[in-house]
Formats: sequence, C-alpha cells, structure tokens
Amino acid sequence: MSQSMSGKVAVITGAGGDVGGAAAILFAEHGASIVAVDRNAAGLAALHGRMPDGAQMVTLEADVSDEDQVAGYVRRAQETFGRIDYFFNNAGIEGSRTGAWRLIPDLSIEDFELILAVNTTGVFLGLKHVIPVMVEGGSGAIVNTSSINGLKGARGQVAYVASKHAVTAMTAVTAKEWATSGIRVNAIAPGAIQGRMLRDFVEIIQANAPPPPTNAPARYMPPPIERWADPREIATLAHFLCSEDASYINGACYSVDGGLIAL
Amino acid sequence: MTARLDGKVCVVTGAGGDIGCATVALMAARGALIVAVDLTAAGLARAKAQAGTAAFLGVEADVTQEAQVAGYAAKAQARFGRIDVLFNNAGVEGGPSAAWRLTPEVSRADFDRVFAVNVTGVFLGMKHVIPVMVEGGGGSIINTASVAGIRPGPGQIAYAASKAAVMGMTRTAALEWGEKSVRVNCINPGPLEGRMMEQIISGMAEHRPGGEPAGLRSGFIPMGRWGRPSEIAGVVVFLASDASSFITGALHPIDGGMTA
Repeated sequence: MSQSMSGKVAVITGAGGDVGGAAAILFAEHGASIVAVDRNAAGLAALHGRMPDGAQMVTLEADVSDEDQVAGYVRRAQETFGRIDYFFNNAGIEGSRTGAWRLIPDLSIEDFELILAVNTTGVFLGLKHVIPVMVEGGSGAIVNTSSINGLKGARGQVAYVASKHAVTAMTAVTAKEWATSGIRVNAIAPGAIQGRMLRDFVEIIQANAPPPPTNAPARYMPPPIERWADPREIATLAHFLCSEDASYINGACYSVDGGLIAL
Repeated sequence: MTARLDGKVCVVTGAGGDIGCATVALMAARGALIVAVDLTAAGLARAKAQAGTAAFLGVEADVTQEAQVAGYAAKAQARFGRIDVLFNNAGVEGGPSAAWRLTPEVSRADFDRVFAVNVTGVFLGMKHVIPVMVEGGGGSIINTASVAGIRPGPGQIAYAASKAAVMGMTRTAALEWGEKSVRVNCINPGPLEGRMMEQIISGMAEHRPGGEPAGLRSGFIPMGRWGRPSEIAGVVVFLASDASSFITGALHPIDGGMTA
C-alpha cells in the first residue's frame, strides 16, 4: 500500500488553475511525471516556477471542449512518457460574466451551452480518449472534478449544477464499464475554494444577483469549518484517490467541502 | 384526496411517446386542459386520441430550438390564458447508434444529440414557462429524469449524464422559484414497456459484450417486472395536482424498487 507515484504518469487538465496547479505540484512531489493541460498559456507558464526541483513536466495548451485537441493532448502524453497512469479530469468553469449567476428565465442558451461544453463535454471527451490508453497499459486511476453542486441544487447556477450532476453520473458509468480492465474512476465534490474562481464568482454575483430572499436558507451560510478550502486541500483528495491506498474505491463521489452538505 | 386537475392548463412535451400518451390520457380524465407538444404530427395525433373530450391544443415543436419552445409557451397562453402545469418530458435514448455504447465508442455527435434534447430541451422549457407561471401566481413543473440519473449504468454515458443533469436543474429551479409558488420536481422511471427499452435492448444486443444481460427483464427489479407507462402517469398527475402542494425539489423514483 502506498501513496507513492514514483515512475507514474499523470495527466492533469485545468492545470493552469488553482486546484489543477496544486495537484500538479503534489503529484510531482510524490514522484509522478506530469502532463499539465490548460487552455490558458499564462497559467501553465506560472506553474513552471512552482514545481518541485527535478520534477518532470510537459505543459500543453488545449481546449477540452474540442475533441481534436483532447485527442492531441492524449497523444502527446503517450509520445512523451509512453503511458498514462493517472488522469485528473479537472478543467471546469463557472461561466461567463453574464452566465455564471442568472435565474433560469434570464440565462441565454449560449451561456448555458458554454458551461456544459467545458464541464460536461470536456470531461466526457477526456474519458473517451484516455480510457483506451489505460486499457492498453493494463491499469489506471481517474478522478473527475464534480462539485457539491453535482449533488445538490444552487440558486442562479442552473447550467453549472446540471454540468456537475452530469460529471457525477459519468463517473459511475465509466467506473462500472472499466473496473474489469483495472481502471478505477472516482469523482471529488469540492465546496468553495480560495482562488480565482471564487473571487470571480463573488464579483459576478455581487454585480448580477438580486438581494437574497428573505427566507435565505442555511445553504447561504459558511461551511461548518468556517473558512474556504485551500486548493491543496482539494488536491490531496485527488492524489489519494489516484494512489494505491485507494485501490478499492471505485465509482464514488467524495465531498471535500468543510461539512457544507453533511447529511 | 384524489389528485384532480380540473381547469388546469397542462403542457406535455413528448406527448406522442409512451409516457406522454399515458399522461395525456390520465390528465384529461382528471379534468385538465391539454397542450400537447411533440416533434411530429403523427405524435400529436396519438396524443389527441388519448385526450377524449378534453380541451386540446396540439403544437408541433422541436424542444431543442429556443424559438419553437417560446412558440409552444406563447400558443398555450394565447389559447388558454395561462399555464398551470409543465410536464417537461421529451427525451431520447440516442437512437440505435447510442442507446448502449461503451464510453470510448460514443461519438461526439451522438453525445451532443442526447444532451440537446434531454438537457437543453428541459432547460428551455423551464426558461420560457416559469415566467408564465409566475405571472399566473404559481404552477407545477415535472421534469422527466430516470433511474439512470440515480444509478448510472455502463454503456449509457450520455443518457445517464443527461438525466443526472435534469435532477440538478430540478433542484436548482425549485430553490429559485419556491418563493413564487412554482414547484419543480422530477420523476425517475425505471425500465418501462415501450419503444425506448426496445431501442436500448437492441443497442445492447449489438454493442454490449455478451449481448442482452440475463435477467434484464425482471432480475434487477424487486417487483419482478418492468413498469407500464400508466404507472408513470399516476405520479405525474399527483405532482401536477394540489395534492402535492408542499412537494418541491424532489426526486421520484418509479421503478419497482430498483434503486432501493
């Protein structure tokens, strides 16, 4: 049993973001070679300076909602390192300035489809192209990034909620399909995380949202752990679920939310 | 309290399908005025045949096209003055090429098609009907999800993801619109006798390693049989009626115990 990733190859999408970047660093600290994928070149460039000494990493610019680019990052990973052992299928967006927080009747179909394209189609395409490489290699572990909003609703976020519920379901589908090929597929369901997405979201909601309803329920309150997560606290769960210590965990969606949606 | 729908204007999408027809029949029998929406004229004719003497408006529309969704909402309002109930039911399993496929074999086009109908279509229905209901002082929306959204199975990545998305949209809409007395629920049918399961079985026969699994027709289900469309309609009518006046944001498995 081990949390070592020595000699293993990890593909991480959204690696230019807060959670993906923290995962790239953490996986590299445990010995993995990293294929860091993001559509934002600046985010990838910034990651280089934060990696541990001696880390093996290639960075690839790609839009996960474009199938050719997904096939491309998978091919480059194989060409560079010969295999894929871990896949942190993590790229996701909260939506545009106009789409991240809107009541249903006010949300444009363009904003709706943008969120689904990255968060749902992007995760589907990643699974579609990475799974055959793992089957060829005889094993693998995949972690998809869902959200607490993949398990519950959220006012003003119909597209985001739909997209993350879909991720939770795709995790179960692929876990059942590929278990006999030695591939485990799990999801993580983070709550609010300190970082770019939360900063932008708070700004957008302040600009767009009507005042909260008078009967604002408990879900507007902070989590029982009275702070937002550090991105590294999300990355540690993704790392654990990829590692050998999680060898019997398959098809699960683990919350990492400070107790926000505790039953 | 028997669930009655006297005088309620009920919009049913996918009205020509198995669940749609059974629901139109029961809604009409319980006093509803029917607005049937279907992709084809043939589907509308099937729905009309179920409506008996009830007031009936048929609208041919593709739920993936926003202008046509806005059109069915406007036509319902123009004819009957209000919308009390939306049975947001139109959905597809993806046709023979996508009804059962391992994930790496699913084409982007098939994935997108399932999402366009099952997810975007449901979103657009809520987007255009909610304001009409708010104007009328409230209403009830029932979205058709599936047991596949609760217990996603292999070979169903697009369908299962789309139905989970419907569950999420249902919860979100309930949170947003409860204050305005618009209730939003979803139903989660298990396998039913009818067209869709025939497609899924032929998809399994062709694409699933080992073909149709043993016990598919009864073994997975504590009640030992598939459901009938009329057994879905009963739950839809209950959720549409005032008998369910404090139920919102909830899932409703109708599956003979399959997800227990």
